[in-house]
Amino acid sequence: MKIQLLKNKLTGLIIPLVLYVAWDLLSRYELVPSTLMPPPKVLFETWWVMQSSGELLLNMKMSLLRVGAGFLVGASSGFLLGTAMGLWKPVEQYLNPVFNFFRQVPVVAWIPFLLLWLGIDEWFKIVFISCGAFIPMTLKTYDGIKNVPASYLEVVRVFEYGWFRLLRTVIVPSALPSIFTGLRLSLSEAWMLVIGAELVAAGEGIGNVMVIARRLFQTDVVLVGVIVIAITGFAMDRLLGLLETRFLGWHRTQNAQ
Amino acid sequence: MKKTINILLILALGVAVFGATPGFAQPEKVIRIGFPGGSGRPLSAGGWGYVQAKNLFEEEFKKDGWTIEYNYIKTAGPGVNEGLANNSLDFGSHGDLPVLSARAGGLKIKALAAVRGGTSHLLVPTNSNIRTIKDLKGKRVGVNVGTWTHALLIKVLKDNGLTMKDIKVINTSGTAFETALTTGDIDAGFGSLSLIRSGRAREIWTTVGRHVRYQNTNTFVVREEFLKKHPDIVKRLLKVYVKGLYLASLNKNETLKFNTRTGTALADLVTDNGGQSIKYLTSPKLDGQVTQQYKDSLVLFKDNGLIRKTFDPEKDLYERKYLDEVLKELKLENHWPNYDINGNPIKK
Amino acid sequence: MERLGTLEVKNLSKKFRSRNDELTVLNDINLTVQPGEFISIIGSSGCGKTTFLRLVVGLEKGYEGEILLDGQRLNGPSLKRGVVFQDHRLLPWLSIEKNVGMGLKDAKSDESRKAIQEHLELVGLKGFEKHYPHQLSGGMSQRAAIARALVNRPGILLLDEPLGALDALTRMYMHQELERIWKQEKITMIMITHDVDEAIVLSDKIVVMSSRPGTIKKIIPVPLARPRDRASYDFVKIKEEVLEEFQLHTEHPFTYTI
Ligand SMILES: Nc1ncnc2c1ncn2[C@@H]1O[C@H](COP(=O)(O)OP(=O)(O)O)[C@@H](O)[C@H]1O
Ligand SMILES: [Mg+2]
Repeated sequence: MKIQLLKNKLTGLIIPLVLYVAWDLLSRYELVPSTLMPPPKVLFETWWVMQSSGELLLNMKMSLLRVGAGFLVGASSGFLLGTAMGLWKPVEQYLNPVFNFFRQVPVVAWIPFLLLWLGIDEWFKIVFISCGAFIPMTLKTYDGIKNVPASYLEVVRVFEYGWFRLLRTVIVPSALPSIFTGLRLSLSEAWMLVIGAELVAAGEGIGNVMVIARRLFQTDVVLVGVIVIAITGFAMDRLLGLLETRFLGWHRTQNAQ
Repeated sequence: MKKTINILLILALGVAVFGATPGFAQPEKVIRIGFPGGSGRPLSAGGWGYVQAKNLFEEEFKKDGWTIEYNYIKTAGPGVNEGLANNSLDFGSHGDLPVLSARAGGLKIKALAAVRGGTSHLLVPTNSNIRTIKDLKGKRVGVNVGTWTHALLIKVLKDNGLTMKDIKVINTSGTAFETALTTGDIDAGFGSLSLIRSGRAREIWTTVGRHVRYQNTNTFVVREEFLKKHPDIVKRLLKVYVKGLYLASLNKNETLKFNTRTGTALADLVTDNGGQSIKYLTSPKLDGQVTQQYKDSLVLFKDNGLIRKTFDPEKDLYERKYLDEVLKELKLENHWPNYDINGNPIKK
Repeated sequence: MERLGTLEVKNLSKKFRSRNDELTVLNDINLTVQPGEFISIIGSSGCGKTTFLRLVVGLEKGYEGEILLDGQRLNGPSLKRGVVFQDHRLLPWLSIEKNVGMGLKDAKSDESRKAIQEHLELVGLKGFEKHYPHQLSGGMSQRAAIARALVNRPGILLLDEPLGALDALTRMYMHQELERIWKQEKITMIMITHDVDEAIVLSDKIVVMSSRPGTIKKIIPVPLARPRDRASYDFVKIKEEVLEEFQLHTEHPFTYTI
């Protein structure tokens, strides 16, 4: 059982490993110009220089702070709106069409407007990230609540629950898997948009480091940025995944059956 | 056995994915030249403007079926570098920071000739209370990152005891820069005289009338691979170019008039370069003025993290062989003097 | 414990309206259930058994006629009427213990803990308190659902084919359990089934329904002493009588698809 699990995990590493070897060979024998694809060795060196100078940490910190703020604002307001629409018919009737209308617009399409209203400083970035994080969270929370099985609700009707107990015992737990999905989507959206926001407007941040590096023909720095972004995003998603297993053990095992 | 086959297949896939990346293929018989084209106008300033306006390259290469493609790259010097890197450009003519950062980043290019005399003006909104460079401390400065004005800003700040860390850098260019400056989204930035003339900005500093080290010295570069494959074409092109520069150097007024086609008013051209000799402005020589300035720039760029490792331009960048041959063949060896670091002709 | 009540159903009819159709599911049902009685309802599938049960629970609204408990009209679901659905409907995120405690006002009080423990013992699930529904077999889940329905001591327990999904052996075991619980708790039970043997083993009366629209065809009393012997002459006799209503005889094996 354990061995099988380990094997499954290792299988996921095969393709990255093969790509790594291919990349190393291609760049080592200059089959691909190093200006287009710097060799791994150079990347490690560049990473080390950026790491030890504190440049990487400082910029990652800025980006993560923005993600944190945007995610917090976006996901919590998404949770509130999704819950409200899921629980109260009038809220749903008033707001769902509006929400659905606006969510058709890709968040990046708001950039010119947001820049106009908020300028190019922090406000723009945080509002932009919040908008992106808000949408999947609202959708998934709303979905989760709407899809609480009617059969469970009937059980509780017989038990004459008040609304708070109903919420706590049935609605929230039943919607939680969907809410967690919302959280994960929302976080990865936030993480992508922070890079987007930093590509558009300056200030410190890993996205901005990459823009500047691109302008200065530092392909290695750009690529280090890409990898750091990927690893951070992956780690954040993993962290939420762990929380999910912790809180939703019943859901995993039930679905496995 | 099956496992091995699987792994081989995946390996092949990996090679295919990476192998497919090396950019555009070289098209047949086209010479593609890239310029920083912030303004989007299809003509360059200085001697280049003359060469372009008179269709000198087109005339030369018509007979053997080569065509000329001028590209004005919106993303300026850094964009020209990207074009050279992915084989969509063969030649470029761009500023010290983009050329030196490209070479430091491993881009295989050779500098064939110098292109002198770029000017700029440090602008603030008309109602701004910024009067001097020192006032920029803590302010939001629009910078076209990776271009020569980026390097110029570093030099100017350094003269005033400041660094880039003392200001807020806003990466912007072209019309976005002009708009941001007039709306007050940024507090300052390098731009052209037209903003001043239209009353939208005020100048607090200019390269005009200052030491030539503040001016932009471009180089005319060629992709090494192209040079190796078509040395004859490169030489012919350079010969026509130098001939053009010679003609341009004969009549300053006419040359400036050609340059108004960039969209710059004649009065502005006169303000910017009127004080300099036409010989200086048109000289292609990779002389002391260029090499000393580039040497100093490399140190400055390294100190400011604009390049991560330095290199020896004499060995890795300058390719004087073709220019020397061309000058000899055209009997123009002595038409342009060599200039020193201060922009003064060196007397033999 | 709730005081047992008499359930009276008078002239009950129920129609479902779809877009332009009207389906009469139940027509003119009359039934009186005495306190402490065990009633089985048997009938072909689709004849309206579940609908009847849901009406009595109070989960279904909009009907004609009257459903009275001690002469009082029903007003929505209530803790006084426990229900075991055909699917056990245990909440997958709650442990068995918590599922069973769902019907209690304060599941944490000592009294509640005791009640939960007692009912788990009653249905033979002692030791499974901390398990989750997905860790139980189908039969165990049904028993947990029964415990949950019983824990707040309803006067009437309604069961919708509670043993339908179980294998024959488990089912027979569950018959004994149900009878034991019924005796011990002294409550009224109304059970839907389509297993004739099951109905005879457990019931005081068997209500045979016919379909389209669902009506009561016949009410057959089962005046046999408990525990009942499936092989006894009287047992087989009553079985004959029930099957008669479906135009079937014991020579033909009973099938579930009627
Ligand atoms: N909510 C509903 N809306 C419309 N028709 C229904 C509804 N519930 C049940 N029916 C119909 O009523 C009939 C009786 O259903 P049901 O009471 O579930 O039968 P049984 O439990 O006897 O198999 C069926 O034809 C079913 O399709
Ligand atoms: Mg049914």
